[in-house]
Amino acid sequence: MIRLFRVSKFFKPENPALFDISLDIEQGEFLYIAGASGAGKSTLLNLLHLSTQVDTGSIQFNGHDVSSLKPSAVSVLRRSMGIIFQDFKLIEDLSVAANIGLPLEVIGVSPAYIHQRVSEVLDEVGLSGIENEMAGTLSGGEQQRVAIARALAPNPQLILADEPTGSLDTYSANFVLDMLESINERGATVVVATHDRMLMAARPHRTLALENGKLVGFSRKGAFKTKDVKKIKKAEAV
Amino acid sequence: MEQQQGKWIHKLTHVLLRATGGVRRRPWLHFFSTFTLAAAFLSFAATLTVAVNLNQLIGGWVGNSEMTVYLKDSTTKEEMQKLKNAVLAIDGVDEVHATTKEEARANFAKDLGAYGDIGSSLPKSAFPASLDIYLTDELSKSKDGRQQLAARLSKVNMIEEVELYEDWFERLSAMSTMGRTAAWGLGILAAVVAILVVAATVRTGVSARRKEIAVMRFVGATGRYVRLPFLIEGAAEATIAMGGALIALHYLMEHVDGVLGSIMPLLGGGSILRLGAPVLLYMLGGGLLAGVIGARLSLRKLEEA
Repeated sequence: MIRLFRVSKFFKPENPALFDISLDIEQGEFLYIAGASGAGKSTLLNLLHLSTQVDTGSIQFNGHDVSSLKPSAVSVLRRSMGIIFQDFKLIEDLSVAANIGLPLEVIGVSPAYIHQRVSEVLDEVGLSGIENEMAGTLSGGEQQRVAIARALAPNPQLILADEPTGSLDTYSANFVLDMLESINERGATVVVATHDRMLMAARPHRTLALENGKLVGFSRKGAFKTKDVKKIKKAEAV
Repeated sequence: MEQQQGKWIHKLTHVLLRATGGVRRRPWLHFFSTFTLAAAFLSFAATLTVAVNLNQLIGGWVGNSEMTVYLKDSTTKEEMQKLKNAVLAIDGVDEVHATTKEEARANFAKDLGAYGDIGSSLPKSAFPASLDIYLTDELSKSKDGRQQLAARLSKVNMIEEVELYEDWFERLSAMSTMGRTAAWGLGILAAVVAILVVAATVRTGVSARRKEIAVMRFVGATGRYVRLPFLIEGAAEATIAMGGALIALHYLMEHVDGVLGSIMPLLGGGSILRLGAPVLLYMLGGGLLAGVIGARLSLRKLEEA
């Protein structure tokens, strides 16, 4: 479904944010992008979200190169994605319903459908009945659930989550992960950027490890294995 | 096709709701900027109205005659008629209107309306018989030609005085030009004020909604979809301000009519003129355009994403 071919991104010429990354993400896959702060996880998510452009290499969605799409086409493509941030990125002075309705509004569906869909996704994230509350008045866990509801609202094919549990307690973090796995089971591709090894160990999925912008390892399922790193480094040396 | 149309209607609905939402979230900001705009537009519309009325007044004065010959008190009606025919025969004279002493007094009373009685207390010599002389376009444009004709007429025995209105022409033309210049100047100033005020208001809105705009981009809104509500907000604000200014002008003119309505005929003009429907429509259109330009100026930095 998504193919990255020798992708690099430079914010500073001497220090690439991402360097020579090649990667295939299959339809319906659950993928972790792991790494410490500054490893390039968020940059990779931004590239997948088309918020930033590659400097070298290419990104393909369903076989189509999206590196040189017009801005309006990029916007349309983004409507098939849901994105979740560590800091939620909710609009505090808008109601929960207005926040969740944003991606639907952009697509151009009727206000009646938005109303119905907002109730459905709120129910799905366990927050029924808070449609009219201001987003800024909710707790962190609730805000992240509202952010997930917003990402789910347009039934996206791809969910990108950048440290979605980073600022949550264990209970809320587990709830969020349950939600993401549930969405994935229904067919959506889920890509989660995280530095939380415990989380990855508890909920094993294919994992891609980044370090200083470089791909340093894979794991098929389960915790990341260092021997994979050794293999890659050996391959790179050759 | 139907589904596509429905999609656009829904999008338009959302854009309009977003535009009105901006006003609802910052009502005082919009109130003050609309009020400022309305004040600027009102001063422009009022000056334009003054200029229009000044032109009417000047036109009335100028249109009365281009040269007036006052006759001596001893001149009879027959002599006046002969003189009229003689003047009419002069090359460059288009028309001559004769006014007897009695008609002069009656015209004075008629022009003064309610104050007409004043004429009865004035001496007979205050209302001399006269000939209003209208010139052909060619002679009318020639200052020398007019002065030569005046010199020729002043030599006629029964003529007391020849009034050429040279000073009046120059002063009135200067006043008319000044009025028009002031109206244009204020028009340009009002447009600049409108653009700047709308730009500042929209910029404040964009700044306050920066996060909202970023989130909209994340969820797939095009640059146009993000900008459109702000454009509508700016255009509506300026148009409403212009509408308000024109309504205020209407009531102002009602008041002015009450105060100056009876004086205008004394000054030689008709009733007080108001701006016509086409001018009002142009002004509303101008307000809308100023709003769009102001909003666009603020949205330059909201590049496509």
